[in-house]
Amino acid sequence: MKNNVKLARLSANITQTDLARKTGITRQTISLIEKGSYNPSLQLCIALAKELGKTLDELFWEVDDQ
Amino acid sequence: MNSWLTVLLPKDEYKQQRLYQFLAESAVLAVFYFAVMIAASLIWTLDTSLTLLGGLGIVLFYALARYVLSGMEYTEVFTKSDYKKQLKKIIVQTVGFGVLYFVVYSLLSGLPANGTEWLEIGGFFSILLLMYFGIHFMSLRRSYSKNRQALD
Repeated sequence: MKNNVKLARLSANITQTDLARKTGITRQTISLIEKGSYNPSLQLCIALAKELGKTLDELFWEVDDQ
Repeated sequence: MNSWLTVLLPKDEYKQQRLYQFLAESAVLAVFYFAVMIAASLIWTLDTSLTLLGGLGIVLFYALARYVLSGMEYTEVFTKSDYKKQLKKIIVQTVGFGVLYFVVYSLLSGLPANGTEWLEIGGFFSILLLMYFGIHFMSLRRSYSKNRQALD
């Protein structure tokens, strides 16, 4: 699943390691989510959104480019 | 996911889900194995202990192999320096494991009495340590490769 987690994390100036620690998961999982190789649970999506100061829409809603 | 198994699994949800998958797959394999063994027992006389051990072996070996090959053991190894540091740790752990095993073995069975016994035990320990190191090394290689790919 495509998402904006990496962009949001970089703009918030947070490392993968820090985000992983704050959300209680591993850096590998953050990395897989950013790459779209793993679809996180809703619970984890909310935790990521809170840490990054974004809404679920901003992080995960896919808008088709016309 | 709410299951009593959760208590035994890592907190990371990706790891948890993958482990559930591996355990479920190994359980299905075990069901097939036992179905075949039940059918075979109608034709041949099977050794009960050996047959049961075979089922247990399939479950454990399959789950372990999938876990090692999935590359999710070393989740923080992303750079060459992390890799080398972890490899050193594995070598130290292997030596520590060997020493501990030898001490426990010696306490329980006593020291080897002659050259032949030393050779037998030496061979056994070499295989054991090689397996211990091999499993961890393979897991590290797969984890490093997976982590690097996720960064690209």
